[in-house]
Amino acid sequence: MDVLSRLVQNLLDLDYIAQVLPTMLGVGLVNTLYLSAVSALFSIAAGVLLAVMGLSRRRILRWPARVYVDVFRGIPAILAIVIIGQGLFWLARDVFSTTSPYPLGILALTLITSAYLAEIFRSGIQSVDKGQMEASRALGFGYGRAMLLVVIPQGLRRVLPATVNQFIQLIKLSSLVFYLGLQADQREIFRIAQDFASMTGNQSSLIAAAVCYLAITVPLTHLVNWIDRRLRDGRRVAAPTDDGDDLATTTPATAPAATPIGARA
Amino acid sequence: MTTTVPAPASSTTASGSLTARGIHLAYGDVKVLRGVDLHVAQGSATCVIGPSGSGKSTLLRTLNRLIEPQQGEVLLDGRSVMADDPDALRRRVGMVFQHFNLFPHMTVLDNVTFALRRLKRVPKDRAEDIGLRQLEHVGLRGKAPYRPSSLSGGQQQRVAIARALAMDPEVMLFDEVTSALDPELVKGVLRLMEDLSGGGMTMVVVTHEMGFARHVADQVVFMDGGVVVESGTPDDVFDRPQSPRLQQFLSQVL
Repeated sequence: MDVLSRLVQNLLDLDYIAQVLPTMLGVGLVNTLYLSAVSALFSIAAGVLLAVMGLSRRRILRWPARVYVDVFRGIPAILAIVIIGQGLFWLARDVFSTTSPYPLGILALTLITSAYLAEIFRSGIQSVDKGQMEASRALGFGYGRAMLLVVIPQGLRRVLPATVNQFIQLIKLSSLVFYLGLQADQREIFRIAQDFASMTGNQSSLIAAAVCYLAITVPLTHLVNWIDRRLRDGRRVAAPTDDGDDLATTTPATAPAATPIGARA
Repeated sequence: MTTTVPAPASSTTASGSLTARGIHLAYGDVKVLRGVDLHVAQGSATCVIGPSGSGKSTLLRTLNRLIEPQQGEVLLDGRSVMADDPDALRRRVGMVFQHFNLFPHMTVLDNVTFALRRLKRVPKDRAEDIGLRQLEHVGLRGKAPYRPSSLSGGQQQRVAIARALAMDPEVMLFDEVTSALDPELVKGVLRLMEDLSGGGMTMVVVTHEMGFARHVADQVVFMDGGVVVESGTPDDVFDRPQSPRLQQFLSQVL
């Protein structure tokens, strides 16, 4: 009983949770969502670009894309964030005259996520039937426009579940930017929970943080499952019918006599 | 900017002649086309027959420069198109594929009007008028708002034909367009192609349908091993084959 009550006292102190919640939701949640959303947008754009480059026949486009993807998927996220956040700090200060680590945090999250999305998009694009490109070019579209208008839209649809999964990862990844020393009003959910925990010596704020993350990620997970099911089963597609087919009403008697192979009509 | 009124499918106004001279193509060491000459007169239909691997489909793709030949030239209406912008050439030559290659994420009508709107910059209403008219020619106007996946193979192929015709091409290329269809659907597509030819469209048809070749073609070309072995009228090719290879091929397929 003692163990349990101490557990509850340390992790489920409702009083502390109530105290931290306003900041956690008003500042933390806002920043977490902002960091994730901005990074997601840039990552999608960069991811598509990298995917198309990775599929190019020209080595000068393919190799940089492959190297980039290998690097940012191959090092731990925290390392990438620290390298960019601390290593590029002088660049932000001297070139863009800002000492806020916020943009660098977004940059780091974008660079990492775009590498994962590049692979996801690339596999999606590659899975599109080659006939789509052929038909588009046969109509007169160039390779680039055919990619943009026909192949990529289909490729991205196919990997929608994997893409949303990556966004779920991104939301959790945003917690790592705490390392960059954000200002009080820039802190995301984890940092706020951590500050409160060290201030009070009680870990209940961390449980509150967990619930906050779950409140975002669990609905997204359900969304992924719904999308996946929709794509798998498809909107109820009608079986092919002769309705609307004007040539299907021809009876055998009125159709031209089938020409026996080899005979002259 | 003048806008051309698109001719209906059965008009002869827009068709040109198509000539291929000395087409060579190799993939690495493998020589796929070893010097092919072909002439398709304006308004006529040429059927290309031959065993698999003979280079028929590859030849077809050099005619609209989907694949660039390493040697040789293609002439449209007597004028070489090798120096032209390949995309511009392909807007003048329509192609229909064995596996239809319709755009699955668009409706049937959007499939047909897509190139019109995006390439020729035709405004939506006019494009849809043209599109619906082409669909009517292939007997599928009622299917305009549906997705390709709700159509049968034969219906999809007819939409593919409408899509190619919507661009008002001068020449139509058909690559074994009935080979992937269930037998009972083949006739509908062949009849459509026969009507098209009767209306004066210049066409090159790679096919295994010998009945169609005999009945509709003005010229039959037999290819084997990357060259044209024999060519002539359907009667010449089917009734009086000269070369042993053609005789052997015919004995196998007829």
